[in-house]
Amino acid sequence: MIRSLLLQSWQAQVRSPFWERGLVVNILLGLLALYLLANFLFAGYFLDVILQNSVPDEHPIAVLSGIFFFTWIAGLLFRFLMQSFPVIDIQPYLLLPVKRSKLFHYLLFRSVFNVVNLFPLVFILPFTFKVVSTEYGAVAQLAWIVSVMCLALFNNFVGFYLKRQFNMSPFAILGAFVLLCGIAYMDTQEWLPLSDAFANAFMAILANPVLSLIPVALVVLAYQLPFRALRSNAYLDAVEGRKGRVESTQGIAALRRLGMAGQFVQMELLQIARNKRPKTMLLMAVLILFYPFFSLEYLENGESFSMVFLFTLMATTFPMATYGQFLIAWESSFFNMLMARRVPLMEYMKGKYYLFTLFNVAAFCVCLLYGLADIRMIPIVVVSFLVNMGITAYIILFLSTYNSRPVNPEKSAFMNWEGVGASQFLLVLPAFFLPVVIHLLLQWILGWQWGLAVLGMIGIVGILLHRPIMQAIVRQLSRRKYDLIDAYKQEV
Amino acid sequence: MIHLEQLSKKYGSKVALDIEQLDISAGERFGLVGNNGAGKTTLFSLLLDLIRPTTGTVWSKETAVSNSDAWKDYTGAFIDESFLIGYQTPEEYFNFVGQLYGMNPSDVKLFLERFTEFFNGEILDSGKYIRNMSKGNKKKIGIAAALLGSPELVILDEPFANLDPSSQIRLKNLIRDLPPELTVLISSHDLAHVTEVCQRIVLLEDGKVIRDIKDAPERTLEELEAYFSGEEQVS
Repeated sequence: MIRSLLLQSWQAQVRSPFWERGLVVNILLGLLALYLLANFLFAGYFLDVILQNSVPDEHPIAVLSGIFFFTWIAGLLFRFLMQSFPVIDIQPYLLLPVKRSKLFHYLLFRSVFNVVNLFPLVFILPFTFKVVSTEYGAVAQLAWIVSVMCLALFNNFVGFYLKRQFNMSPFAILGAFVLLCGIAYMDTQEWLPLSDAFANAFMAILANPVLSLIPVALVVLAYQLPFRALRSNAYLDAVEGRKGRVESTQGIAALRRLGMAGQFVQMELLQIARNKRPKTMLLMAVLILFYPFFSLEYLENGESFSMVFLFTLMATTFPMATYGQFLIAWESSFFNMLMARRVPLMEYMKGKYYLFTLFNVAAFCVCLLYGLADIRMIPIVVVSFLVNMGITAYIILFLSTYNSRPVNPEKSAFMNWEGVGASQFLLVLPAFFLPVVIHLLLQWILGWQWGLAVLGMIGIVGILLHRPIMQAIVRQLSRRKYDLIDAYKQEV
Repeated sequence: MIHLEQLSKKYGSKVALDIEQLDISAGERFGLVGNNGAGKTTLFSLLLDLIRPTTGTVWSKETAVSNSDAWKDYTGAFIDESFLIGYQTPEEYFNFVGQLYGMNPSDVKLFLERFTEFFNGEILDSGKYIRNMSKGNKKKIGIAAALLGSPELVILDEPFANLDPSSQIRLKNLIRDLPPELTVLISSHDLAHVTEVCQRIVLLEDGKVIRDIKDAPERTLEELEAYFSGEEQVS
């Protein structure tokens, strides 16, 4: 029974639309995955050398075992945030004459085969083969690997349980974060030397392989937690969780003054606020605004001024680019309505441009703080703003008319490759890099001060030519309209 | 109001729609029936400029719909869920569509009062996003939104489907009470309802107009039932 369930799960994976994204993208992703895998295997192989160099007095195995304490804590936190229980998968089976406990065993067993759980193996296996087996022998090596895996599995099952119990309450997350950081901190301060305890425990397992049964027993206990929770709660109504009542918003009064375009900005803001994927992507973009901080040191050298500018430009363009790669595709689920009802395309696109204005002004204000660190950042930030508004925004708006894959904004952004096709790589990257290329050219010809000034002026010209450029973009949209409507009929 | 001439839509070799001539006058209550795959949704999509015809043009008030957006000012439509914004509440959605037609929130609220019975207390002040509502309620929202903005032409694709019996009857009454100048195009699988509401019924089969029944409501239902049950030959 569990075997046929697993087979079906395998079929679901293989037939998922994940693989239908075109050969080019799959090859690129495959190469990327291989590259990363090779890197980690390499790192794992030389782990003992790394550890030896950083902590020379202690044995690398002991050091690594100590580090496991921190990875265990981090893993628990990570799972608390990101792990989700695939209970939806078993809904069709609940009606069939299948024993429920078998379904739960299947779900929990399947949850083990996850990248996050198997990842430690990539790191650990080369290390153990190189170091542990030579010093302690094969049996001890096996015991050690088992114990390490048990850490991951323990987190796996406990993570499910915690997630279900606390169900994303922000206070719970914050509380958990503080608690786990506190434990880690107390360890570094030697008040609660848990990492030493971990180190000793693992060394003991190596000396006495039978002790590895203890972690295994712990995992079995941890397994019981989600299993029992499932058994008492696997009803369709309990599983989904009761959704709280939501209130309608009145909208932002200031936007009403912008006319219909303002209403579209409101629609976009509501979309970002109420859908997981755009919200997560933009939160990430906020983090990236701190990126130029690391480039400030290059300001000393006049030659590398362009590097700082490029860092800042890319950081400030990122919110536009990341949201803009699906600018029209976000609305794929109701695109028909937008095309069939009285939606003037000019107001529609203007709304998106005003949204970008919002992003850029916010980024500008935040980046002005860099001016406190170094006054020369101010012209960089100003020119970045002008370039974003006068050049890049238009490019992204234009390229969005080629968003020919539907996208479901409700799904989580994590590991979400929906809507990403060759077009993303080929078209959005030029949007990013065109201003960069222009800047490099200008800098080469005119030197960085004038290069920056000319770039800024091009941006101003772009802003002044708003009307005709938008009209060209709207014409492009009405040309692409039928292809987009057709493309969005696909199931997301 | 609507004039179709030599209108066809082909997907490769498959003919989805092939209409030689069809005219719909203002104020007509027009019903479109046919089995699945007959071309009903294709016809509506062409009327709303959502797909391009293979041959021919759709004329709305003597202007081709593909040439200008003027028809959007007086046309309301609801085809399927792709006309609804899932992450909004019904009120937000109605306000959004309303402002497209120059209605402010209080205008919209006033307009929605006629739907109180139809909504049965489940739509307004529901506290839910549209994506979490039942199919029937989603349909009700779409139908109400199609009528926002005082359109002169309303296109509804299978409005009776997914509605419970009381709602179906209320919808029938709603449509009957619409202003007589309003042209209404409805497609349906429900022969009984569509014959009660529409004076003119057009039968589509494999993209072609098989019957065009005008102004004979008494016999229309029998004629349709005879056609669909016995597949009697086209006269």
